Amino acid sequence: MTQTKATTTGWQRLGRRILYTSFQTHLLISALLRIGLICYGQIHDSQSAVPYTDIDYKVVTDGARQVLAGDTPFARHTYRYSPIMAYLQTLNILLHPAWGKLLYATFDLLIATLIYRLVHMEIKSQYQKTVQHLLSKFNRPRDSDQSLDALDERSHPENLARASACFWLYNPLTAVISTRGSGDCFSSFFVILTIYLLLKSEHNVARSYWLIFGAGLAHGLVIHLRLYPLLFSLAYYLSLSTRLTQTPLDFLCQILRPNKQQLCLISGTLISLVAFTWTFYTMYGWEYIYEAYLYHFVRKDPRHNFSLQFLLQYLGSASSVAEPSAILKTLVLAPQFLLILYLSLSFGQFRQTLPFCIFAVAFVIVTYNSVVTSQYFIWYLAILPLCLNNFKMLSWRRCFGLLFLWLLAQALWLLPAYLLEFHTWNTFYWIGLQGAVFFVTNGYILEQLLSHYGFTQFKISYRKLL
Amino acid sequence: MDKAGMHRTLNYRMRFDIPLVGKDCEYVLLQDLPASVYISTDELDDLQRLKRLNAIYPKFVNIEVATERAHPFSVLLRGTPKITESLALPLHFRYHAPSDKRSAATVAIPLPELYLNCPMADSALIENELVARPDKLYCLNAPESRFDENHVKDGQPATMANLQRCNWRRVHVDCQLKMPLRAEIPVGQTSAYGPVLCGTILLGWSLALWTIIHSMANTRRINQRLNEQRLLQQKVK
Repeated sequence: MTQTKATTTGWQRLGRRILYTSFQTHLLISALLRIGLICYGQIHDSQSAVPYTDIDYKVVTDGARQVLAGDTPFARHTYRYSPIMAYLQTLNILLHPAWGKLLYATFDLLIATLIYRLVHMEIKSQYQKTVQHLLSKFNRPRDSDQSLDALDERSHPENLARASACFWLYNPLTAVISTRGSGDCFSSFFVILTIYLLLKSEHNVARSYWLIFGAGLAHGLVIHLRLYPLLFSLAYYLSLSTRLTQTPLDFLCQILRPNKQQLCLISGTLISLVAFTWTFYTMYGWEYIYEAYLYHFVRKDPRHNFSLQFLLQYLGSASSVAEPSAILKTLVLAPQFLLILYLSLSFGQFRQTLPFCIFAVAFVIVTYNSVVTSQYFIWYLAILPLCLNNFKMLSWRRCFGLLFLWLLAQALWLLPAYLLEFHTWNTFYWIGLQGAVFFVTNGYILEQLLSHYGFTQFKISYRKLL
Repeated sequence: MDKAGMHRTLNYRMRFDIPLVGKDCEYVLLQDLPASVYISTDELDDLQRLKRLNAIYPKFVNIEVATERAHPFSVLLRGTPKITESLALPLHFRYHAPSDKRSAATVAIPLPELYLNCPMADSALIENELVARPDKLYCLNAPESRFDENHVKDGQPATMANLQRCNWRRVHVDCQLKMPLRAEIPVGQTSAYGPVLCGTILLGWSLALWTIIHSMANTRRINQRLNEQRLLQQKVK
């Protein structure tokens, strides 16, 4: 009994120590962890036929080799990225093959820094707004510079920001993905940077236009890097509105009559997107446009993946099956766009809810995508730490329940996929069914997160406040 | 070949007669692969780097297309004759287009062909009865990963490199298969397309509408509160 008590106290002490370790120390530990993983990858690859390094890392490195030889990176087959990725990895050839991994791991840490700063800024701002709102109810208006004395320790911005950053830093999935050489964290960094600049513009009125313009530049760059952030545009745009859109007419007015801030965002995005696209088009021609952009629209991948549309795509690949009509294609694609529109209008109209909106939109993009692999999960996992504080209405038990459901649905999908791939069983319909189960599970998780979202979850001491 | 799976390894156990072993000869095992099979050039590059494979294969093999749109190709496995030697070639089967006539497609992998190249002085080592076509010499066409018959044209320079490249003889192989070189690749039913299309549309719409209906109350409440905050702030300003 005494021993159990001592162990519990030990765990509690460890938990407290982790909680109070400075953010810089967490960054240092995470950096060492990532360097360790990169070293392990180098040793593993030199000995094993099953490589640790991501196949895309090799493709981009080959693209970089072509660039150094004065050729186009698209000369490497299956190179379907922005040429920027090849430029970034040229030092793989000139300096060391692990250079790119080191660079992506650095962006991993930069993401954590942005998460930390963004959450800190947002919690503080939300707290101040809540206090102001609360005080106005008691007819005791005060200026906006309230101290954080009335907050309990667990809701303190510093602690919440550190916990959110740690959620990213110690996530094994993200650490492994970046150290395997996947460039997803590079693009995720610019998605979070866009959100950060938009949120910062609300608190820094003097420089707000420049910050929004900067957000536009980052958004244009990330659309150039990966197409999917294009679908975040409506939410970014609406978050800069000054009044609530409630009717379709309001919405139309919002779109047709942008305010100054919205114009800054649009111009920043267009300048950056057009500049990058035009530069690379003049350098590499039509091949660049096709491989980096158009291919992703015409891509049909009938090989098994998590997507609900996998079975449909596979069965539709038969020459005897006619190409579906435009109406049928619209019916398949429309639910995704309907949800994106709904989420942008529901959570995109205020900057306080913007991080959650972008998370939910990314979640919908991945869930409804025609091809879904594990690597796509990073699109929303990178934004999830920004909104952890907003899920306080969900109990720990329910959180773990949802996580368990998400993992279980993947495990259930893996079984028929394994049987097809390694035992050549005819499990196409079983995979299709499990894809549908995973789809429904994701839908349920999203509904739970939407229904339990709360933006002002503070335990405020009224005695200290009043 | 491994018994099952879309990813298998072709294992060869080579045995040579003693007179060829330890000489300056070289062999190439030509493995033709049908359109329903592909190799990952990145995977083979890694194996070559680890010195677990010495092979010639096409620079680019499209791994994304289905069988019906793919083309056959060959892989050449190189080595020097030893009394016994094991070689392994990892290969992958492509998906086949769905059909209403079958639930599996049989893919047969042809037997490999063996080519030998001994220096001019040692060419007598290759016994005549061993050679499949004694009157023919073959040129190794590495860029296309195949062998071409050696047609000597007038005026073609008889360089040492050319002589060596075109000094290959195809020899008989006594193949002993541990199991048939055949694979049964599953195939879906085309007739299921209609119901699957309806199910996909129905499920996509149902989930989207259900999500919207269930979360609407909370989103309205949040927007109302945020709007109150905004109005208050505008008033304070």
